[in-house]
Amino acid sequence: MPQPVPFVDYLVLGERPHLVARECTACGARFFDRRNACASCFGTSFTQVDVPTEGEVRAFTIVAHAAPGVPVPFVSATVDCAGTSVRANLINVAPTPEAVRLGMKVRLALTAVGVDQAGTEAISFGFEPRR
Amino acid sequence: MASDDVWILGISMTRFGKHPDSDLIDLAAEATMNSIADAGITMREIGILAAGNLRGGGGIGQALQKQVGQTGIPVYNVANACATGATAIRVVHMALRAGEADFGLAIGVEKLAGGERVGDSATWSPQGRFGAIGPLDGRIGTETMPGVFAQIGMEYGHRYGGTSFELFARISEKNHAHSTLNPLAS
Ligand SMILES: [Zn+2]
Repeated sequence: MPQPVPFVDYLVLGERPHLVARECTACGARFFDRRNACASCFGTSFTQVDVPTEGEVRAFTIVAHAAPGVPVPFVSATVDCAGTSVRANLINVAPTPEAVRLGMKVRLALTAVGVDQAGTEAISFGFEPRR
Repeated sequence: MASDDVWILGISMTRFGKHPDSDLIDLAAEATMNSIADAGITMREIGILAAGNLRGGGGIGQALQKQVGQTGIPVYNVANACATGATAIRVVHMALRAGEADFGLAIGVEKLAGGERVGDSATWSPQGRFGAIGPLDGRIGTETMPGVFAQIGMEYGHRYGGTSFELFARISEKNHAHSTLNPLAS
């Protein structure tokens, strides 16, 4: 069976799944895509860093209507992982205003995307409540 | 013209709706024909055209000219997210202020109904600047503007505190009240 592949290249699978970011060596700003210069300080030197896997919900919205093909409802959120902003779905939690709240403590969790024609499984990430 | 003032001579808009039988150019043409009729002029007088559109793929200004009158004037296609139509107005306004033309036409047109998320490919292959093997919308958060702005509002409330959701509701109530005054609202 082929190795599972991450849904995005900044998700590292394996024993200890985590996200990686590009960090500006001058000011510490972090980005999940490549940059020619830092959006904050224009510095041009970056280093790869691991993003903490625990954080708290800084913003969320429960999406009830989306383009055809997008399963709803789902919870979209911005998670603050010790200073790094991560865009993600909240998973393993009911998509209701009662179950999700600002400041909620969450942790990185994996979720299956599907299997392609070659039999390769794709794995994505979300954040789930810390209990 | 000695005055720096710029006057809006005519204005028009189409009815809000999905318009399955009209394409982008039909909608732009309807608004254009009614605007120049409202102004009491023709395309002959128009000296500059700015056409705002985000999702249509470009070249709307040229296509519109073929539909309503092609006179060889400069045309500027602009795309600027929610401010696309306002940017078209600014382009015309600045051109008039600069003395490039005496009359200008600014148009904004968008057709959003009928979109859907692109399907996954048959075999996973990383694409784009996130090395994603499929569309992100709905999987890595939301990409729709209502969702993005909802999160910005939530983050504002979380960071600064005291921002009540009553306040957001009042803004919505005010906007909907305005729409009841527009006979073209859906
Ligand atoms: Zn920087």
